[in-house]
Amino acid sequence: MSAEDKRRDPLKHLPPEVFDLVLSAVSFPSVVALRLVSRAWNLAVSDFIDYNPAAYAHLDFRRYDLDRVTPQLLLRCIHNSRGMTSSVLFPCHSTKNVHYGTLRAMIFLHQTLSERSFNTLTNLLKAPRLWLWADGSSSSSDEEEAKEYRQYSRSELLSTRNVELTYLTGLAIDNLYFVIRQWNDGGINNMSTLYRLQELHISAHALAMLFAFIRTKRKEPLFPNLEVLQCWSDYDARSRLNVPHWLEGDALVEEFTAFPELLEFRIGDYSSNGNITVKEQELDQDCLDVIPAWMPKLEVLSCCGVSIRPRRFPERRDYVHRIDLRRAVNLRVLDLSYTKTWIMPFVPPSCRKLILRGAGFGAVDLSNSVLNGADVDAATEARQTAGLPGVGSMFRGLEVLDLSGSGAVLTNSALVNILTLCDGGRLHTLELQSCLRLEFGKHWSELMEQIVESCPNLQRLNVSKNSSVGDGDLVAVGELDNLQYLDLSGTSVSDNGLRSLVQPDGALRTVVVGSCPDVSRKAVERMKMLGVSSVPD
Amino acid sequence: MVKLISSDGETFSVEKDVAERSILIKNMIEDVGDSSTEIPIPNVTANVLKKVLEWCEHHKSDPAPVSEDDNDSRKKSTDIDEWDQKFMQVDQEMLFEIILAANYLDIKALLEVGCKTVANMIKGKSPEEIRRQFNIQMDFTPEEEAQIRRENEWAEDR
Repeated sequence: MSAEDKRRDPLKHLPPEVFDLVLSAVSFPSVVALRLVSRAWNLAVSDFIDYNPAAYAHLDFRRYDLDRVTPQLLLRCIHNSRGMTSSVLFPCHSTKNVHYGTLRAMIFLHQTLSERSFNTLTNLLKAPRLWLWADGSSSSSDEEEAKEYRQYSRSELLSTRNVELTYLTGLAIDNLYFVIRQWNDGGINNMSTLYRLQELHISAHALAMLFAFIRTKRKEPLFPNLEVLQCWSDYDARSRLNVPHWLEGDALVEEFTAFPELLEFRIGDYSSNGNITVKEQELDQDCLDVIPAWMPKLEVLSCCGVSIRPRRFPERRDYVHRIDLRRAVNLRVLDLSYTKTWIMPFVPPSCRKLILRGAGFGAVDLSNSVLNGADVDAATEARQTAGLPGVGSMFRGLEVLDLSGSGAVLTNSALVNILTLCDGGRLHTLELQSCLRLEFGKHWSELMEQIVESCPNLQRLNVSKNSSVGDGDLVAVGELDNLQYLDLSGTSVSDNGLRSLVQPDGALRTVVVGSCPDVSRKAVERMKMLGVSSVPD
Repeated sequence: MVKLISSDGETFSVEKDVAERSILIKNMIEDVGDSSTEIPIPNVTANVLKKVLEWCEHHKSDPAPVSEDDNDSRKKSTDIDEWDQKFMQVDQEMLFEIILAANYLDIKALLEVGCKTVANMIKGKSPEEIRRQFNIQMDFTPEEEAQIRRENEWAEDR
């Protein structure tokens, strides 16, 4: 080797504890192959695998045959990690045979969980949680193989001797129902693995099946400690799980508490980095109807991009009939973004944050009971709702209201009616981006005055992309003494209006004036001089 | 400003919050109670210390690392941010010196980036490729090698 050769054996140059750090960044089991590098490496790597739990923190079996990844091996790894295992990556052989009843089915198949969202998840969640995850999608449907697998999976994996899995507090799995049912069919009644679960992520397409199963188990709540239930929109699962499983029976008279500790229930999602991408998620109305009875402690409810699959016409898509939240006395956040409902749902007085971005309503009829879909019998409804809070107490606790992107039903008078029901003093954030039917100063200058009068303590106001907002409105906005953030992008305001609005020593910190044709560079400069940051194009 | 003196006697003046990315230096400053004293760094030469300080400067406003027991913060080894990847494009001698310095100075994030960089040089490679990568002599007898191969059989890729 020449004198210029800068290649170095890391094992000779790094202290053992640092070399172990290097090894722990190589996932198990590929780290095992490093024994073959040299005698010294063989010793170091063998020690690492035998004595350092960090070796088993990330198990990555994606390049391995599923057959070789036996449950025994997996459990040994989890055991050796002394609780440090935080991710298991599996090859995905997504056939029904594999689904049925194996831990292999548990270690699956959230194919739509991209690496990025996986990282987000793991960062959000604290150990000890085990994430079971897989990717790739080869399809081997070998019946024999599946049979053989089932034999040892039952005895080895699911017996009570294997306590490791009962320490799980978080689980991501696309269809828990299949797994549970297979345990059941196999005579495994010990569901203790589920008892400690605090957070569960499943595919939204499997929700109806899981709920139906839970109803058959009403003597023993399966999830006594669950706090967060998140149902992702999973397009692959839609093709995989095309078996409809309806909830049978009258969901409204449900007296069973399936999730006594549940705080957060989220269905569907949308991402909004730049462009908003909504995944439409169809659901059975029953899954929403059980919410008030099943989840008494619910604080956060989010249904994004949800539409209803009518029971009689499963191929059709319908608006959400109702979400009855009058019993949800602990609800603090309600998000129905990009979900269409027949009638605007009742928002309990405990609710602090209401997000209705791009949501649609057949009607904003605030005088009505605001809940009933066409399919609810009026007499039954009257009997069941006696003693529950009435419409007058709606919106009472709101601090954040987001009606951006509201469609045709949010007229000036509808908005004023909503704001009248709010306790205006509490409301500090109002988002009205791109509300097509609202008519501001250019046509009807009273609207902004009424907003200001109803909500005198606003700190954040967004009226962007409403071209009817003009200088006249800014006069009214000037009355808001606590306003710190104002988004006027895409409106018709001009330099004149901004000049009188933005004054020295005002509370305003940020004014967004991008895409305002009548706002000049000079006006932006002036705001900067006064210490107000502005975001033009 | 803090004055740091490398093992070969060169003096570096850096902002306090840059120097305090190193827990060792941070503790020393606290112990001395006077940030104007010169701090000797006996284990790190000037050319390495310069690199390390360049890294600290770029990361000076990073949030403090979360608690020790936070396993999940140990991301997968492919996750090295772009700036760090460029930063780590140095010869192996320098790379290991940086890692040793980060270990000595107790700069966790830099140590982690360094170790991940080495791990990425290892991952997906055959033992022979790894030997070539790091100039390692193959010193197994054929019998020894065959023995390990047998033991490892279960862990081989498909």
